[in-house]
Amino acid sequence: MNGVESVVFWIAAISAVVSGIGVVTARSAIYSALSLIVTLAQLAVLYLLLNAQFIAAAQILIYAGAVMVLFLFVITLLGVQDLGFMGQHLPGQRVLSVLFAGVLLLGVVFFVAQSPHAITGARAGFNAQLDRGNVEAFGSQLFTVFVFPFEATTLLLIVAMIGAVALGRRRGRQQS
Amino acid sequence: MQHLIWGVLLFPLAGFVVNTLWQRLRGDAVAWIGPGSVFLAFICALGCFAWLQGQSEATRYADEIGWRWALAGQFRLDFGLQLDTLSSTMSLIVTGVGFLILVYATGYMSGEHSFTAGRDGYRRFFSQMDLFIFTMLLLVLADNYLWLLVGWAGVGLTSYLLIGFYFDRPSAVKAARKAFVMNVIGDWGLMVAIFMMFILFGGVDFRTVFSHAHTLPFNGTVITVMCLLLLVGAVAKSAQLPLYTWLPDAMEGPTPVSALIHAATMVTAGVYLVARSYPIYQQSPIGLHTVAFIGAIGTIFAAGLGLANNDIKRILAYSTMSQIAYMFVGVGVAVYSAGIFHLLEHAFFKALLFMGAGAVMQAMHEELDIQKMGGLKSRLPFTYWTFLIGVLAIIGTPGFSGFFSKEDVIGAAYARASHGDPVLWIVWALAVITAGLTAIYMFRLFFLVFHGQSRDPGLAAHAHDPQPSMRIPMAVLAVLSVVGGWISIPGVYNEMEAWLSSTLHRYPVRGPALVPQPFEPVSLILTLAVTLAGFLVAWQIYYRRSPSPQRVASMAPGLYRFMAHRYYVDELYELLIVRPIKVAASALNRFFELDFVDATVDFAAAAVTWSSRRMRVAQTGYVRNYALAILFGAVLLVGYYFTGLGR
Amino acid sequence: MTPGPEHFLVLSAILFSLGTLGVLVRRDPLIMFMSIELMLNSVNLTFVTFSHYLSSADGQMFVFIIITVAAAEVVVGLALIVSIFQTRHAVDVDELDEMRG
Repeated sequence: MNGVESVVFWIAAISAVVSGIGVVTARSAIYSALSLIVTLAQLAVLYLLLNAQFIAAAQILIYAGAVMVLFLFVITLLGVQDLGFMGQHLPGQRVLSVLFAGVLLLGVVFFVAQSPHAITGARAGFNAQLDRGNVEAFGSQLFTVFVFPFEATTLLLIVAMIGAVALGRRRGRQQS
Repeated sequence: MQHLIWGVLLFPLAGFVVNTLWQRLRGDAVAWIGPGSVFLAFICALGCFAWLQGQSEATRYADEIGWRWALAGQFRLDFGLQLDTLSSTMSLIVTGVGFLILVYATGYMSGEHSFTAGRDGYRRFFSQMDLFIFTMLLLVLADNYLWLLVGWAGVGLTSYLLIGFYFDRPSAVKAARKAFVMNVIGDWGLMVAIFMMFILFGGVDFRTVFSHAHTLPFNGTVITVMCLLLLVGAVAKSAQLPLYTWLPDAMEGPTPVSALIHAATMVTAGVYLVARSYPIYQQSPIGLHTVAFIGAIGTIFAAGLGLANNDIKRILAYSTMSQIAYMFVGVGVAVYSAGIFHLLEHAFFKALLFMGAGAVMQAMHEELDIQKMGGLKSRLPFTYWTFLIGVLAIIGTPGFSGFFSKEDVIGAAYARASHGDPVLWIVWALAVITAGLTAIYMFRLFFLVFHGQSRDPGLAAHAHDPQPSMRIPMAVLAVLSVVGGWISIPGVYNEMEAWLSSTLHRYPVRGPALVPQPFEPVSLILTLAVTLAGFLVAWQIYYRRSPSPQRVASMAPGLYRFMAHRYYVDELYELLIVRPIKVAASALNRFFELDFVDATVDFAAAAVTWSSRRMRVAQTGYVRNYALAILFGAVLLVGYYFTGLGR
Repeated sequence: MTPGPEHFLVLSAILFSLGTLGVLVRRDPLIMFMSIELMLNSVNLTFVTFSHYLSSADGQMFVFIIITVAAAEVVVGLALIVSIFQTRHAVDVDELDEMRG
């Protein structure tokens, strides 16, 4: 990629990491949610850099637009409390978590560093279709090769809706 | 037509299954299914009999193979049935007499006889009787020793079930257990014999065993041991010395049970076993002599027991033991046809006698003590006459069935003894003496029950003859007890011997020649004289009452007490066998069972509890801990692949 | 330096680890949930990276599915959280320890 794209990458990447840290370490849930929105936006930028325009749009519309709004609704419904910054009384939890997560990260980095040449290739010639536009190329795959997962996720959404309604019903006679 | 033999076996089984599974069968349906299934089996047996008649002497048998049951290396065993003259005779007896007894039972068991702790006594009775008949048929029809053993064990089981039919009576339960334990001793003997057969001959089916039996050393240790082991089984099942004490106690069961199982069929299984195993016994004269002597001693032993007993059923039980001992004498002197002949006739008159006893008991409100009876001739005329026929048959009155068969046996002993086997004179002598004793105790029973003054008028007030369903079988058996013996008159036309010869000559044997025995007039006359003397003694004491029975008893009080207490044998067994076993068992329980076995099991349980308590610590209940555990697993996986171990 | 596939993948790994830490260390269930969303998104990034560099549509398809499923999961999960914590005053995941032992 050219120079402009490089700069954009680094900015987006660093912002994503910073806001990611913000998600995890924010004192209140609202701040955490807002940080997550920022992260999602950065990721959308990165998707654009990778020529996945449809996915980037979906990310913004669905993830940042709908899912996070839902999160914010629930956060305001339940109330925001300050539990004390990372306070916990489970022995060893913090230490072990950092240890294991660090090991995981180092492992992945190590592996990636080892084989930089393997991640190239022209498999299905997908990029060549891009002269038609990513959305059209994406759609032509979605409704032919991947039509079954498409239909399955439709079913999944219906089930989730039913589940949410069932869970959210007020159970009569219960003291709140 | 020979395939009908499967019907013989399977109809009673079907009757058992239907009667058992159909819990809500009404009484009349049960009364049809029970005897009906046996009747169908009888028809099939008749068909097989007819088929055999039609065959020539050399081919008068059919080996019906069912299916391959076991195949292990060289050992091969099929489930099959053997149709030959011996098994045909036995199956006819079992199904024919069995059918008559079951018809009798439909009348006898209705009413208070069926009331037991369970509510469905009537149905339970018939289903167990059908099961018995099935297992007995399996025993006599099997073509190999293994399935014979299955039938053997099966009749032991049903005998246990039926003796303990009135299971709310402790005495019945004890008697059932006693019978079963003694039978198991017999089972052991038979089993070890079968093991020997397998080792020596490579197979346990009749063809294999009998064709190779004569290859063992004649009169050698091995074959004699096999004979003796088989004899242990026969002795236990047929209630001979020394394993006989269960038979009188078995009278706790309902009277039809006593008639069928403990008179006509199951107890004769030992005789069948010896007769069937004739190639083995022929190879060991010592074995044969043992059989004969056990029979001879047993016959007089049992007669003595019957003389001093006052229980109507137990007297008949001892007479059964005595008559079966006669059958043992018959097969023990290697005249197998004589033993089987007596088996056939005995089935007729013994079943009749038991039916009569049942009629008397029913009339006298279940009273068993003959000292409380008397004068029943006028009240139960039908029973009186049929019982008389049975008594005349059993003592061997000329013209009646028992005469021919008993003379066959005693004459056979005489013939063998005088033709080169002098030790058998003892056997003959004991048999003759017992003929006289039989006359005494049987007529004692008869006179005390039916003649004289009623010694308990209140009990006999409403006595009357039994209902038709009971009378008809009695009548049939009475007829058979008279004419049944005419089918074979030894010395004139020994039809029985001819009939069985096709079976007895199928395999090569050594030992005593299996040919018809000559007619022995000396033995006949002596036996008749002794029998008549016995009758006169009984007439004098128990009918004319001079001297009276009490005076006779007081003439030798010690002897009388000894006999009345059944020679104290039960007490002896209790002391020598039962009590040491109980002591050993309780010692084992304390030192082995509790301290070792229980401790081990408890330890296992404690170990599980201990370890689970330690492992429960990991279940903290916190979601975050569980998530950490998942991450830990993921890290391990990552490490496995990324550090090259997974390549 | 010019960003190549490995840069995207390392970024994804970093975000994933951050998300993991968030799930394990925080006690507010909503923040835990959002950490899980962060993890999902990092995986999305990985998929899109591979889709681009291997010129295959599979990666983007997967992302499509993941987004859909994540949305459904958020709906149901939040409904659950709401119903559990509605009756309590404190929103603390460590209070749900009835399965202890």
